[in-house]
Amino acid sequence: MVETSGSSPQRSPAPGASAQPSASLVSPISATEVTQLSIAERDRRWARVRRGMAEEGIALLLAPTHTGHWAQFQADVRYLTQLAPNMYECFAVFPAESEVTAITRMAAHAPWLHDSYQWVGDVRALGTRTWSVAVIERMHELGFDESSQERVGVIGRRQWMPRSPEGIIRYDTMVRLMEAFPKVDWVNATPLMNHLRSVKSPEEIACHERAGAIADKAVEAMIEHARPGIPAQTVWAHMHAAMLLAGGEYPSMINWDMRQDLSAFARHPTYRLLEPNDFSLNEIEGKHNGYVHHTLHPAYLGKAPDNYHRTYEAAYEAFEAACAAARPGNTTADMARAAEAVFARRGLEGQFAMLGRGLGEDGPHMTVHGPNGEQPTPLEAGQVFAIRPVTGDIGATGRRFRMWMGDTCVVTPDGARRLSAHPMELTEIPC
Amino acid sequence: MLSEARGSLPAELPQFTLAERDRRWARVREAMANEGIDLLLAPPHSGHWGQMQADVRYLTECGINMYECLAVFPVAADIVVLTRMEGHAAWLREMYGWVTDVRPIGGKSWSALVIERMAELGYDAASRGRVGVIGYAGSADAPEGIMRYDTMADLVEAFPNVEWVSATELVNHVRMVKSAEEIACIERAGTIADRAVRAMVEHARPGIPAQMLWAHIHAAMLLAGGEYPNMINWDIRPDTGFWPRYPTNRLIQPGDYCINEMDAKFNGYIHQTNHPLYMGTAPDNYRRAFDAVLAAFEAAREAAKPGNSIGDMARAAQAAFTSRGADGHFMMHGRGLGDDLPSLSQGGPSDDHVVLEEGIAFILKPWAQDTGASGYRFRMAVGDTCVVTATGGRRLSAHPMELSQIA
Repeated sequence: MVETSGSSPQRSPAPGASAQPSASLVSPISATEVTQLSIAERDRRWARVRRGMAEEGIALLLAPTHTGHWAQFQADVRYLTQLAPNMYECFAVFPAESEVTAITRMAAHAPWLHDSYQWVGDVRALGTRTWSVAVIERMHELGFDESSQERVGVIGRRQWMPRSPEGIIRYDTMVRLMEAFPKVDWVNATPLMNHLRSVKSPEEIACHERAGAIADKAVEAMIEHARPGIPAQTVWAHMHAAMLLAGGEYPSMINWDMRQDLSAFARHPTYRLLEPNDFSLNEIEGKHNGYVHHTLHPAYLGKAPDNYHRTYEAAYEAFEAACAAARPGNTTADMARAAEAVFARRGLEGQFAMLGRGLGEDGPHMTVHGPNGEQPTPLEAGQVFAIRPVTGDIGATGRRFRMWMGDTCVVTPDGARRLSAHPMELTEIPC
Repeated sequence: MLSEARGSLPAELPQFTLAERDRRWARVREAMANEGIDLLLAPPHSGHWGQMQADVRYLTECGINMYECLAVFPVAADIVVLTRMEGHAAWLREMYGWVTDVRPIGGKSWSALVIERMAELGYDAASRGRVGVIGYAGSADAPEGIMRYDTMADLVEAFPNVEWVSATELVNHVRMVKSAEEIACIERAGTIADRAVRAMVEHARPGIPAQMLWAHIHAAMLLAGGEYPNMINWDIRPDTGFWPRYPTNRLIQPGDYCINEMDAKFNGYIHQTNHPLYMGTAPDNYRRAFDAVLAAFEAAREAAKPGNSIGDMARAAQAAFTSRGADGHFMMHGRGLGDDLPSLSQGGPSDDHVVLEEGIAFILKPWAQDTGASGYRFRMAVGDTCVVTATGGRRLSAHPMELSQIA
């Protein structure tokens, strides 16, 4: 499973490693200290990625660094190398047939990453250089020169990441690579990687389940601490604290607010004091070993009005219907039809929505479209996504609230299986 | 000070006054005029705990906790903030009072919206203006900037005759000297850092995972009103000399030593502190090293007066190390919203060229090293965030500076 790894053959020594301990400031770290995936998982992934590269005629993949969006933009680097949690900037150079290289920024980071994680032996530091200089150096070692005409896939170019419509690779980095290798055929490899990442192995699903247990703690903390008179930010802080103390990885997303007849997610709560009849709309992400469990758990301070209950019941039934339809051989459109049939039968305006989950922007991608509004994605066992139908109504303030609920699930032959255990309900918090 | 109200509405989030906005914008526009720049573009980048987006936040207040924002800042017209989603735009408009024109990119791209705004400002394919791009070239934490390739390529294609120049340094220089409102934020962040230190000392016990102690520190900062996410580079093990970005699941043992860089954050402003801790009674050479580093810290702090240079601070610190026979090193860098100036200094010859001004905020963190019982060299790093005043550097937190020893 995932807690420790086996030994890794053919690993290079740590950068700057010395037989004399006092020559280094870095005291030793053991690979058993960090959560990591097995060597078998590495070999499975690398074989799949290399098959995908061969099918597209790609000789080399470049996965650039970007620690934005709670570090989810660096998901491909992490998928290929396991590197690394919490804002370690890493760039992966992944050839079809040679040793994989990870490049990180600071000299001291390289030995720590090398010794902590077992997948990649060649971990290099930028030091005072630039990303492009280090990548060009590695490409030269691989035989690339200014006359090379191979196809090189760049992960993180435009239009393939819903949350980063112009990709993630930096302008200066890309321009210098193009100048150094003017005849290379640079292609966008983002869809290739998204497709490969979309079906999860048992080790990955185990990480999701652990993240689900962490998300459960956040839901419990919200219910325990939400009370009139305390700042919204404090409840949110308790939720983050609960996840961290449950072993959750940092940073993770909790889009959360609580106020009357709320209809939108906020990325940061305010210091407003909670009041009776406040309603929490949220997107809570537990994270373990980089894997994200996304849950939406509505909560009401006091006794919720009847239309809150009606909309919750409809959304929950739509969730269950979509889960039942999430079987191999069906498509995302079948899920959408199942959910929207529920809303139609109940006479509510409602919408199916889903969001691929994993290390970041995993496929199948987010969709809020109806059954005919988007190219449907065929479902396969092992795909993981949050199913999150939404409906709403007019609240006591005269504004429209949105009832948005959901949880992260995995596709199985029997339909989608939830990966967390907290009760799915519209929680009414006595006050 | 921070405004408590915006118009007739109570402010639900800490924010700056309109006077502070006008002060910043006037200084930035003066610098733009000096360099002949008509327009500044500050691109989105929510990485490095949100610090990469410091310039957008400085210019607009927008950008808390992974709200990706791009600022279009003309020298003589309305400022526009672009953000990704419609819901984000509405929230940012509602919460912050500096910029009213906040636009979502929706299903479009960053470049499409920038081009649209530039067209409104009169730019076209024949325009030859000078446009400054922040994050186009390097900064210390982003050696190849932060601008995305596809965004910039589209802009260059749309306005082929524009002279695109790097404006990273321009805005960094403006940001270096802090106003009273900014210092109040760093000081508030300092009180949050105090809570982090207290939590570390309170919860450090043999037998608990290192990650758990680190989690308690983060939790204490959040519950003290700290902003998310923020950096705690931290580890605890025998004779350690490196602060990794993430702790491990190793169980803490007697004789472990904790080295750290803890950033507390309030309204985007960062207070960093380095507080060493030892599990048990620290060996004599740890205490000697701490005493030497604290003496160096105090000497450098005293030298941090307007008119002195960073070289003067470095020499003062080095003299303290020399007088104690310690293998010590000077280190400092700016603090604020992100990669603020002064740049990292470790006591080099260029330090004499950086002259201190009142209001510059920095983390002062000298360190010394020695060999521990394991045979590895430990690093004794001690530091805190200070502001330059007429009487020397003033610390912006209140916790005791000591080598904490956990019974």
